[in-house]
Amino acid sequence: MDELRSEIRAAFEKEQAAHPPVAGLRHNVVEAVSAHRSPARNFQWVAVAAAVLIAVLVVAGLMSTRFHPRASVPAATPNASPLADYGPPPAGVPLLYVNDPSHKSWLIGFDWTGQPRATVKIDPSIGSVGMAPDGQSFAVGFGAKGGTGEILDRLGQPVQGVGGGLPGSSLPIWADDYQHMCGVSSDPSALVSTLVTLAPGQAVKAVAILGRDQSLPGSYRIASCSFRNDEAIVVKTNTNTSWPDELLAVRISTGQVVSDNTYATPELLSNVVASADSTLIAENSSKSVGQLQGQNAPSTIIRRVSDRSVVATLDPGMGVLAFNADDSLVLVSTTPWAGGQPTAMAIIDLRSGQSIWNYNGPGMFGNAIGQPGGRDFAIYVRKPTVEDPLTDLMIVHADGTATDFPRRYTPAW
Amino acid sequence: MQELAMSRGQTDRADFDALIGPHLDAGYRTALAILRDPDAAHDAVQESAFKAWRKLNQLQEGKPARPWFLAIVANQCRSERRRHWWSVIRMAEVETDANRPAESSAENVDIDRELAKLPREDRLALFLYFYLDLPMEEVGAVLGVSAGGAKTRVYRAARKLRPGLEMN
Repeated sequence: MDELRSEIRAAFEKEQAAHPPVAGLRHNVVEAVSAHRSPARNFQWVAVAAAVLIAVLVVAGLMSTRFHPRASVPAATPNASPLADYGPPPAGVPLLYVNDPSHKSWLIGFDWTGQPRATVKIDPSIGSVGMAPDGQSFAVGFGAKGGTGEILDRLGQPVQGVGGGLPGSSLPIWADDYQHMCGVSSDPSALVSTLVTLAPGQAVKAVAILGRDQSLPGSYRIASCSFRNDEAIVVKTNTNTSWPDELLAVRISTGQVVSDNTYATPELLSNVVASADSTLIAENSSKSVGQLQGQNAPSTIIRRVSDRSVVATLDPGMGVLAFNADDSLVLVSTTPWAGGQPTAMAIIDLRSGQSIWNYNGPGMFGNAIGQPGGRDFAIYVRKPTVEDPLTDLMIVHADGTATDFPRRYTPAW
Repeated sequence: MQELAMSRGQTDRADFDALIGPHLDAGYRTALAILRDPDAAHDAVQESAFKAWRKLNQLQEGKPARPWFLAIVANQCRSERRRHWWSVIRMAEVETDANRPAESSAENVDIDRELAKLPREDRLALFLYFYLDLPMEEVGAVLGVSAGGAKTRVYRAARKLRPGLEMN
């Protein structure tokens, strides 16, 4: 037994020597844990540390990015009043807009470090506003009956309206140049769905007929609209089941359908998400949304649109929610959805396969935006089972740290 | 170090550091032995520390903190879902001279190989007893069994490495 003990011990020592604990493990963990003062809010601890404004510690020699070096976390500015007029937005600075809780028609613009930088005052009669991903313009009126839509500039002033509007009820999405939009125009009498593009001061341009379905019209959804790569990704879903039936890649400039993939077993998938540049898609297993009956795809797969080659394979219980702007990171749900929305999320670095950030509730996922020209995500979560327009917003940086917004807001995205 | 018992009340940093701080290294090493992934092990010990912080008032007065904390670590590793999808997404790690284990004799290669093939719970039992040198009572506390049960588990795991081994 003594000889075996020595052999076993030597074997374990070899394993342990290959991966020693990081320097300062005890100090770092104790500091991190003792700063976690709001157990009811289960954000990852870095966000909590920032919120309580503890002293910044330099964490050196950490092996894992998931220890979120707090030295790089910008704490929410304690003196920034969320109720002030921050003045006109600076040109060329990407901003994230939220509704000012004290002024019905005001929007507050936060930059991607979490600092309030602008106040835009919108005509209150306009209705709900959706900002472009860079915050330099706003779309209003789309989706309303009649769908005549309008685009406002960064100061909230109307640019020339989008000519012709969008017949049907489709909401357009912003293109990756933040100037154009892509949408689907549906003619219910002819059962024809058409990919269209929109831009202020220009007539709605028909790009390509997506389908003519005389029986059960499918529902076409624009998954991505890339003017930079001249390609839009369109997903046709079965209106009865909402499973993705077909995926089309369309050349925006010519209307050519570059590729058309029909899913032979759509019930295995829940949905398809595309990167903003239309180069990647994520085919989410139906298991990721908690579909228990029937079969599920064995994995959630991220593919290149060009040749359908596999970039990454994820557990089927995970679903991709969004790609960041340079396609290096994906926001995923990590447990099957509860109550119709994911509550547990993570951000995975596709280059390493490692998780850089995770969130374990209690909020339900609302929406996410990739930082224009950067790698960060802006994410908001809602309270589960409660009708509350206010959300918890956070900016998750590419190093895995996070910055909370100073209070709850209704986002304009 | 004298074990301090937590009285009911607010957990503070000093108490936590005194009680759990000395065992964080062992916690990481235990997680590494189970998960065999340093990033996952760091995550697991961090999550375990958070759980220990929240549950510190449940540590019974007079009871040693080490097996209590290591039991949390072991449970955390068992519920580590992330490792499941990591194994799906991660590329195979290429062995370089930097991370290749030291050269071993033929016999040791056998024990290394056999140890690597053991189920997690067997590895854990062997690790706690042979590497961390925990007494059987503490091995049992971490595994969630009695001291006698722990002895049986250690012996059975060892026999998988050496089939002719006699229990003594």
